[in-house]
Amino acid sequence: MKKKGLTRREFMKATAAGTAGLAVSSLLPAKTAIAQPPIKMGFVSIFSGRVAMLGETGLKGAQLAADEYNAKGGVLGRKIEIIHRDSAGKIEEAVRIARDFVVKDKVDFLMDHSSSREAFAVKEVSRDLKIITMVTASETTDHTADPKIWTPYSFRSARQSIHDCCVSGYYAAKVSKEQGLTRWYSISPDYAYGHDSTERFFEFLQKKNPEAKIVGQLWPKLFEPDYTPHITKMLGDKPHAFHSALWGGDLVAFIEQAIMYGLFEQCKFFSNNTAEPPVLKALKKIPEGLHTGSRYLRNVPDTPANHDFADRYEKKYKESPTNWSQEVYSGMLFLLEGIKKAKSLETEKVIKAMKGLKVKAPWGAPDMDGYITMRSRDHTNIGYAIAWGRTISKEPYVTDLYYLPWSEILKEEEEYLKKKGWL
Amino acid sequence: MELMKLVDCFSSLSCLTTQITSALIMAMVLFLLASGLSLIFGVLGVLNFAHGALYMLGAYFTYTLLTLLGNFGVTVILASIGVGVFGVVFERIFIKRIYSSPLLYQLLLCYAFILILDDLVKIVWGYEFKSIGLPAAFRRPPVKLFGSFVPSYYLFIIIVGIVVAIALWLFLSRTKYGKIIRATAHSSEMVSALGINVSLIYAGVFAIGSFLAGLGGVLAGPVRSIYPGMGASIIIESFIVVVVGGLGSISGAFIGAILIGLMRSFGIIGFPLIEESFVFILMAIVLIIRPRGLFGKEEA
Repeated sequence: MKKKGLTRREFMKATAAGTAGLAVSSLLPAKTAIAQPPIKMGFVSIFSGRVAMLGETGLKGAQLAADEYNAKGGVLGRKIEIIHRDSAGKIEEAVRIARDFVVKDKVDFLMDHSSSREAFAVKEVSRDLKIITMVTASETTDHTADPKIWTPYSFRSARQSIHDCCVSGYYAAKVSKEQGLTRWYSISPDYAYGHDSTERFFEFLQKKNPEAKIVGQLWPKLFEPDYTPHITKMLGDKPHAFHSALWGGDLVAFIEQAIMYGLFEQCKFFSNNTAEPPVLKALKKIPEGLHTGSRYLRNVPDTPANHDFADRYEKKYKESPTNWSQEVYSGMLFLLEGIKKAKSLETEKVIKAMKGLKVKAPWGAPDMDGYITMRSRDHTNIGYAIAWGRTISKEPYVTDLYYLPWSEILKEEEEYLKKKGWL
Repeated sequence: MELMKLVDCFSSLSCLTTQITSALIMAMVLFLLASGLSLIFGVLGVLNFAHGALYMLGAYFTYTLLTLLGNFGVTVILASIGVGVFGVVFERIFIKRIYSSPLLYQLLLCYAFILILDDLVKIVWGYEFKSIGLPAAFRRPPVKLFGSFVPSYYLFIIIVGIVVAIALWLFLSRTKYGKIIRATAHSSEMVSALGINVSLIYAGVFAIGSFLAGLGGVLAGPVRSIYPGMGASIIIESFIVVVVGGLGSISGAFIGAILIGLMRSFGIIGFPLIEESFVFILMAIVLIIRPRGLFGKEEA
């Protein structure tokens, strides 16, 4: 009896385990069979070499958004799926990947998280294959502003250089007037972004403070490892202040080397990109009193929604979000809310839905009630928070935040576009 | 107007000191890389394109060791030896097999290793750029020298560079092993016929070359930002130094590195907009007037 009982129990156990297993395994395919196929996004970016951080932190932003939507059941009852590939920063590779995503992987949307160089080429893919592309990293103004290369299939959720430059110029004009900074210098990387943003910065600075004079400009190459000659040159020329469009590792190296020469005690430093978590994290000791623009910061704007976003991101990835995570997350918001509004994945319907779409975002500017908008006219993002301030060595690292109302930014942008003959 | 600044600089002792030390800092790091490159090419006949990756390893080893040990002196030694050891393994397993292969195979192998090491660094240390930060002993105000200020860490780099240059020169010209290495560079068959294990010499030279590249990374690490792929930004300039100084010549690498440092630090005073082109102009002039490089041997 005893023995028989045991076998029976064993039998029951085995059956129970077996049926449970069967139930689970039969459930899974059944569920996916009933559910709709996922909404597929093809994410092309740089995941290797010196700017691997672009792709890695951008993808994290995209994945966070996808997970959050999926947790609520997806969009139109469909889950969001992201596939990603590495272009290594090569234009022809980015184009090939974008084409493959559409033709072979049959993605529903492209997310182009590339540097401006590749982005201009990928834009032509979206025009050619009539696929909606969310441009999430190229900040060059021309990308959406120049009517000659504009296409209705391309949308930009990334910030735009002209907006940043306008705020930085206004801020520098204010500070330079207060402190009597008239002799200005610049040190920016020698490529399109460096030249463009430096030129615009001085335009706005001099417009608002005609006293400011440029006494020298330096253009080290991108990824220059050693800035000692530039630093000693500036020490010799004794400017009151200088502007820099250096970013990432280059900026970290420059700041560390400048500290050794006491450059920041001699002249005021204005840079767009110091207050970005990866830069702040890499700096061993953050020098106080550097003037910086905000890329992504949890206190720009200082709202519960933004702090909550930073918390969610940090909980998931054990690191702080970057500006790139922010730009891609914005892109996901625009796309997914656009699909919801269109109640369809059809290209023309989603384009129509995204035009002028207002989305509540963690970084929606305070004077825009926390909303970012996909401007209907040129398919670019407006209304995100931009601030300038001074660095402090402790969290939140930037203080005395200065915001320029978006009404002012848009006025300046319009003037610039008209001057270019683009509007 | 900018040209006047250059004239002014030449007549001011403090400006001269500042620019010369700034030239020497760049020069010493370049020298460490270029001398290794040159030595490896001179003896093994291999153009080690992966040299920049060894420099990167040096910086990353420093990052980890300094965090673990906290002692910069020990870190410098361990990290550079670590890269030297890595170099030997790399030579024994891979480079060894391509000595007699065409140059293209060497390039392919080295290029593959650049990619592999970059990715390996990305996996081990992460994709974000890091900064090591100045070692505690050097966190002090700059040293005053002839009315100019020189950061103490930079003085340290310059002194180490010069010491290494002298040590290397003494080793190659005065010791028995140095003579064997020079003889191997001249004719490896002859050395082999004398009963010396040439393969071992090759491994040793590769180790020295890797050690030097590693040391370059170790010294530069604390004042530059480190990231996967950082070797790429220095390898081109190192090659220029080798071309200017003469392939296979250590003293050539030393003088070449200093010339390039001076070109940049004084070029930026007089011609800030085209400063970087001076390095290439120098290389072009050397190639036209003396194609084998300043210290290159006739037949090389």
